Amino acid sequence: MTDPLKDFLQRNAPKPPAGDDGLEDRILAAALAPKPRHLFALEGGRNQWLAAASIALVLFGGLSFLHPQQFGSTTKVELALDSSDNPQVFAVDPQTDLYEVRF
Amino acid sequence: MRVGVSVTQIADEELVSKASKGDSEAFRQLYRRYSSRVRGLLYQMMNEPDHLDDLTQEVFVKVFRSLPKFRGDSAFSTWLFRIAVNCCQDARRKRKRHPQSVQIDGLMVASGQEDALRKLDREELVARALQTLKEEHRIVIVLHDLQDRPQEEIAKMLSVPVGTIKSRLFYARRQLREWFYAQGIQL
Repeated sequence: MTDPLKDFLQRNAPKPPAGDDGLEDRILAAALAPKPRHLFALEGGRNQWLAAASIALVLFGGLSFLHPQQFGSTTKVELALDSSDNPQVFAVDPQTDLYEVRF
Repeated sequence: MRVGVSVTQIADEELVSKASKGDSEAFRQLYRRYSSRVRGLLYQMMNEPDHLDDLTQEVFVKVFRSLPKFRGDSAFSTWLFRIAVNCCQDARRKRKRHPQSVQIDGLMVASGQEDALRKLDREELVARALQTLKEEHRIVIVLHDLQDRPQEEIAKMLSVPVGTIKSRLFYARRQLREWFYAQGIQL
């Protein structure tokens, strides 16, 4: 037995407007075009890199706030980028030591 | 004299196999085979005619680029519709972040506006009714009642148990019946 609601919906289903002329070719061209790659899109994914960089900046900022006298103009943050699955970020303070954050 | 005419249709699997190796003609055939159903789904889900071409493009570009990852665990059409549903959900999320003007006036019609509503044709009425549903209910109604997909397939598409589909279908239909009843249509 047909459900009256389903029957009503099917008989009066909203019909999509016809696509633009050339839509098929446009879609095919877009599908075949090389996939755009992000500048930092390495194997690990760009989100991983963004997270790593953000944490390094927060870490560096936090240390500067807690020990302002130890962080002069010689302090630097070095981002060590590699294409492995475990990107590494180093916060380097030449007066103390190497702070390493791994993901 | 009776002349037998046999129409040979290449199976989806064969087209998928060719298209995944970069055969653009095979992909074109898949597009022609499914584009109208996909457009129907997108339109009924989103009710945004101005963005329909772009959304259609997004779906098929994703499909084409993901073809090498398609393992054939489900039918190609199930996989394709799943991508289309995901694109709808992504588009909805983007719209929420960047709200745009709605093309039709309020989705719920207050009492006293029935006269205006009666002037709308029934397709518009169904489109409005669909937009009153929660997204998870609308997906199930569109796939099951409008696109005629079986519940088991919808469950696979949405990665939820069949029981969940039945439940959503029940509540969505009840809400639709009540909405239509309020417009003077008893179903």
